Amino acid sequence: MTVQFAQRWREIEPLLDRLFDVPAADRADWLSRHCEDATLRALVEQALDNAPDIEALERGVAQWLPGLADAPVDAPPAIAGYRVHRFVGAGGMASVFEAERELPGGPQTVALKLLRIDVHDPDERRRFLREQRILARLQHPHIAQLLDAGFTPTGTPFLALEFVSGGDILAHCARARLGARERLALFVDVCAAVEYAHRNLIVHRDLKPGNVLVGADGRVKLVDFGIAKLLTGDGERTHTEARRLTRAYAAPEQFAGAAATTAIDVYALGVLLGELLGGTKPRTAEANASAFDDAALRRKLGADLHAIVREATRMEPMRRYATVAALREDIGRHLDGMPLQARADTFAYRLSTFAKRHAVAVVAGTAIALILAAATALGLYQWRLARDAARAAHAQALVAEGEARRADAVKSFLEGLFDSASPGATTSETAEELLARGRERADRDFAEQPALRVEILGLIGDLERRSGHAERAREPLEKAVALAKAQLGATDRRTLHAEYLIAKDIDELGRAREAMARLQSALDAFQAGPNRDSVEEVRALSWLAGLHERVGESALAIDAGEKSLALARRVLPHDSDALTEATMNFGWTLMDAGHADRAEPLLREVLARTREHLGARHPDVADAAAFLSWALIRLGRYGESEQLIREAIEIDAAAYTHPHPHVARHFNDLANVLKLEGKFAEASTYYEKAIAMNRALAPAAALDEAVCLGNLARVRFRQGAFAEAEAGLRDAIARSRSLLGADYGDNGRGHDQADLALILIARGRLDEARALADGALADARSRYRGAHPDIAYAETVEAELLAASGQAESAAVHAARAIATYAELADAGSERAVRAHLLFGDILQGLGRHGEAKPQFERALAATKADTPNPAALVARAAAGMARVEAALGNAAAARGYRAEAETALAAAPTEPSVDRDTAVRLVAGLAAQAKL
Amino acid sequence: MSIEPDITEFLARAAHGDAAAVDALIPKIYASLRQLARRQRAHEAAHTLETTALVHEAYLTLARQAGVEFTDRAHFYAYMGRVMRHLLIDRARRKNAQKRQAPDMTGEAAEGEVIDVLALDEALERLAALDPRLARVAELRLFAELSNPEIAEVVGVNTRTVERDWLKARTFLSGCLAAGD
Repeated sequence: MTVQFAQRWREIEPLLDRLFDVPAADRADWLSRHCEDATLRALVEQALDNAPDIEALERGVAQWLPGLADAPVDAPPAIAGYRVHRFVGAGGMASVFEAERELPGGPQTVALKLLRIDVHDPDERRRFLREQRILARLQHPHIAQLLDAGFTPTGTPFLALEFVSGGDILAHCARARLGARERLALFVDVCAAVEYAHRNLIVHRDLKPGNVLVGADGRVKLVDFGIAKLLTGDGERTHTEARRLTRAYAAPEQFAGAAATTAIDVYALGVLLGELLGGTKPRTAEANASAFDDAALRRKLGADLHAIVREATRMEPMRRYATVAALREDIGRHLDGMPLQARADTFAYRLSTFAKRHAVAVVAGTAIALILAAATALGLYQWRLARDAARAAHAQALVAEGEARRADAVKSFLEGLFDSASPGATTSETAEELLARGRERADRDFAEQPALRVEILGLIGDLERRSGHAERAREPLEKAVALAKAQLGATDRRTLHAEYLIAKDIDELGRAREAMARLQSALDAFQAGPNRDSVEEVRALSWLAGLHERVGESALAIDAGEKSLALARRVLPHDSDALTEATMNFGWTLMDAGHADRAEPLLREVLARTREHLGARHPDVADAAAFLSWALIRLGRYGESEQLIREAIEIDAAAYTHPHPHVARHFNDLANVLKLEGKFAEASTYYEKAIAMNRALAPAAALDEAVCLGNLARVRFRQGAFAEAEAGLRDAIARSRSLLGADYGDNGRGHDQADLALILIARGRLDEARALADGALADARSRYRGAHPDIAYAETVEAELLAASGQAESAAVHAARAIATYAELADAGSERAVRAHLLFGDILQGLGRHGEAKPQFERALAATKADTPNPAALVARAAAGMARVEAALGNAAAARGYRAEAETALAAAPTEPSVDRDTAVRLVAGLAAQAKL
Repeated sequence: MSIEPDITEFLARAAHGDAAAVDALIPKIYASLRQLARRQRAHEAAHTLETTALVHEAYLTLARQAGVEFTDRAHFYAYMGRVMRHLLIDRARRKNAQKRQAPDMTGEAAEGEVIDVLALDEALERLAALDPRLARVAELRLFAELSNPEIAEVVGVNTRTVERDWLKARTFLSGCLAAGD
């Protein structure tokens, strides 16, 4: 009838021409009226709108496509020697079952893969068996071993592989909440496995998360080298039959059926890396440079890692990494850089650089570490940028190659310096020589290349400063700035960077105001130009904030800090070290300015970011935890604070095998909290531990040692051992003075003086105390503009002195000022604010102003009770004060209530020596005596 | 990736409507299309195939491969339609051969609504002999997934004519297929 329809088409066609003008519903009717030939009519009728095939014809090609690929084979296979347990899953090329293989030594669990490939002709079978033999040779800790292969009774080819119980790498990372560093570590293992396969001339060709598993032991295993095949010399054409490409992971040339090369695996690894770190697959592949040219992804990954991903996923195979090893090495370089970069300058550790300048000879090892850090921070990214530029821009090839050479020159320069230092050298001479040689070579080797010289001089100067030679740093840095301004202009990022470096140096030379003014004008000049929103601007702003705070301009400091952080959040990648640095520095600035409440969330963020980027057990996490603990102390959250520092110390224990200044610091931090909690004995133990460790690190930790000695003396003061406290604090002061010289003024001298004054007051040596207290107050007032915790503290000490001297009226004035300052800073809860309230209350009561005294005790009691956990002795002291004031006001019932509260608190207080406790006991006893009268 | 030097030339000629060039291209495009189809099969549920996306992908692949930008995408899709038709026929022939060799392995669940590609091809050949334009429209419609305006552009008639041609061609094919083999 087919023939018949076609044969009669000439008659049918004119009929149709008329028929299709009729509405579909009326066509049958129309036909019966206009077509007399019954056969013809039947032919047309059965082909019309309701015909069985019409719907299928309308569907078009889609109806056949499912059949283009073979139907999945999901039924459990029956293979001699195997017991199939369960269906695990099916992918594009295979169905996978968990099975047991009978072996003489007992059953072995295997992954049984039934391949959906056509192996019905003898050539295909031979090829399958040949490849299976090759794959069986692959033996690597990160490759699931091929154990067996063959054909099922129905002829389907199967592979038996080492069974990996675990999820794919993405799922694993998400579940285990792995940080970037841990993810990279896994990825490096993946690269190692692929590299090994490539050395054996096997290309995986289907790398994707589903083929990269992580076993229960947390180790990576690559599976499915099933489509890999022997790389032949001439690039044998792929047998497309066996291929089912994974859209996002297949290199562009794979879709074109190109020969399998290692470049295909490099591409897939790049995609995997992007997804592992950024959580996204490449955008739709366009015929441009890379599927990962994506600003959002760049922000997420950071410049280095983003550059690595892009390089691996270039559209043209020739422009990708030439080998997996090259990819892996870049990752390694990045990884090596991270901890060093993360140890960038922060205010928290500024003191130790001061100490270095004054007391420490830095060993070569430190200098080399700094050089490497700088090389990775500066070198890798720029080097890559330049190399990319050189490859990409044919038109600008000459310029770009010059850039690449420039960056390479910096790298090799640094490497040259590094090589010339004798390995394991530990004398300070070597480090000095190293940098001196660097200065000399910068002048000689780069005389004709000003931009390069700016970079090198800046690097050398910064290294000098960071290794404790701020004076020597000045000259190369000044040279770098002058050269940069002249050759690159004030709006160039490199100029701003050089200015930033010199501001740090001037600051360290003790001239914070000069540094501030200079950095401010450099920033103004830069911001007028076209290069805004750069990392250099973030760093400069962030440091400017610190400088403002140090010269007492808290409002300006907070403004600059806010700007730097906002800018950092806007322009820097999420895992940028500079962003973490800006967050930390702003948090620190807020802390210094007396705003612990605002600092706390920022420092918490720093801790979270550090954890995320470096893993939970990294020593930098310990530091970040310690910083946060400081803010919590000021907020009276002692329990949380103690917990955090204990965690930090735990991390330290695993991370450091030798005494380390950071560990000593964390001991000191823990002791600080313990002291506030009233656990004086335990606090002393930790101060002593810190002191011992600092001694082991002498002379590097000499200043830290002095600080700890001073802190220990303060515990003695609280314990009532005033003579010992005085001796200890005087020793600490003498050490700090000799270590810091003129810089002591900027670094805790005021506090030390005030605290020594308190001790002397307690010992009744008021004249000696007066000089100190007056000095501390004058210093604080001249130093800070506006409200500042240091001024409040100095006022409190002054009030204490005056009260002890019998000048109660004057004492009340100073105490009131202290209270007002704390109020302005919104600080109601810090230990010092509590003590100021208690003091003011006592002074007012001495003056018979009981009504005014009462709210002071009330606030002190409320604040100290709000501390978690509350320091019982101080609570008792405040409650007793409250009872006394109520008694004086004639509120006997209220007085009894507070007295009972004081007694309860006393019972809970540790029974170790404590001035607070003694005072509370004395007050309660006085009340008891009153009651008897 | 190595490209035979003539592929670029063929693509360029094909882009300008050279039928011989299309034929020469077919074996080369063939592999790429089948690969795409397989990939699609592996990743999508069987019934949600995006054929148009598939053809687009093939277009991009070929354009990239040869470094040629087709000035006229519709023409290119038309060639892809030709390729698709050949591909399906070839596969159907192979299936038939396999059925004879190993009947237990190829028990394809032949759904009633799926048209036998070989029968359809035969019907199309007959139609081409009678009315080449109708056959061309049907091929573009069936295998290249082109819309009526796109077909109109390729064939060089107006859209209205394409609509009418398709109805007629559809009736022809339906009539031939209904007769069975």
